[in-house]
Amino acid sequence: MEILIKQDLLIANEEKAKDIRARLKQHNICMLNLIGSPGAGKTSLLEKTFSTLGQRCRMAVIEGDVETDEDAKRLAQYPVLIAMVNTHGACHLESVSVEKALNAFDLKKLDLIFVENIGNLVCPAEFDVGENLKIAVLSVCEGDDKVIKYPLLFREASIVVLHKIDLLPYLNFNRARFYADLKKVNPKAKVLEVSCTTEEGVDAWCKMILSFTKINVISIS
Amino acid sequence: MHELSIIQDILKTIEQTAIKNDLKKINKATLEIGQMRQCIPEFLQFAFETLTKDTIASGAQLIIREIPVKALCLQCKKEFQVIDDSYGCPHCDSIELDILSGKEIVLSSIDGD
Repeated sequence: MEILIKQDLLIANEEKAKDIRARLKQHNICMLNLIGSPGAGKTSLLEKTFSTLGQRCRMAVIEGDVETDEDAKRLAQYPVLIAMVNTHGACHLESVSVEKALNAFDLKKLDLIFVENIGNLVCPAEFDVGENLKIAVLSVCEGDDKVIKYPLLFREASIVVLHKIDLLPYLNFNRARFYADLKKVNPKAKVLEVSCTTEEGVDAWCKMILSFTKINVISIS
Repeated sequence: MHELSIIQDILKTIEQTAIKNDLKKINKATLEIGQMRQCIPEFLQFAFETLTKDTIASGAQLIIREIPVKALCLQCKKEFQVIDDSYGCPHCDSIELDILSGKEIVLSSIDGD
């Protein structure tokens, strides 16, 4: 006997993500989902953001980590709220765990929430966690071929941070190839070149982040 | 290895459907996977074989249908297939698109007794 099911396996996750987005919108909060490889510099970028903007806007971070609280410990010195999510082996965050983490915050007192996803270029791109925007963080050490090797992430990301650009003189990273691939996969993506070491691009990043606090109404397709 | 977690979810749905329909054995499951999902069919097959051992779907055949990425150009209103991850309209070069298919992870049917 054949039984038609036609069940989309991501539908439950997506329904919950929609609820989260609606809940955040009620509180005028913008949520940004940071996705990149282990070592791409997601936590460093957050450290710079919090030290620069900590007094100017009310922020929180949901720290996805497979087992440890290393990243949360690094961020504890900044004036932001932190909710830890240990996935115990899972390679990405899902909307149900983000929803639980949100319950740890008083949403009335926040403007901006970052989700630092698990270090991985594949699975986190598949799971909507209720964010307004996905931000891909790619360090130049990872190579110039990553956009075309992981097209889903770079297609879904509205912003791409090309990170650790202070290291470009020591690497054979081909910037032109990176830009050409991104133009093909996602011509609408905005790119920011940033180095947390020399602080190049940090101002532009922080300005962009500040602008997001005014637009919870960013719609995503 | 996101193929493994996909198969885990599928197995859950298969088991629930089998109970609901009073099936004792699953012979076949058909899965639709969009090409944007970057799943490797061999990995899906391997995960399915491994995870279904000692379950109601043990020994069942997994049929995988890959769904191409299709888009609608919002400017010239033509539909086209996205090839080589190139997300621009081949007719008018517009980048304003609606993605019509290619993101599916759908368990479309099961067959059992």
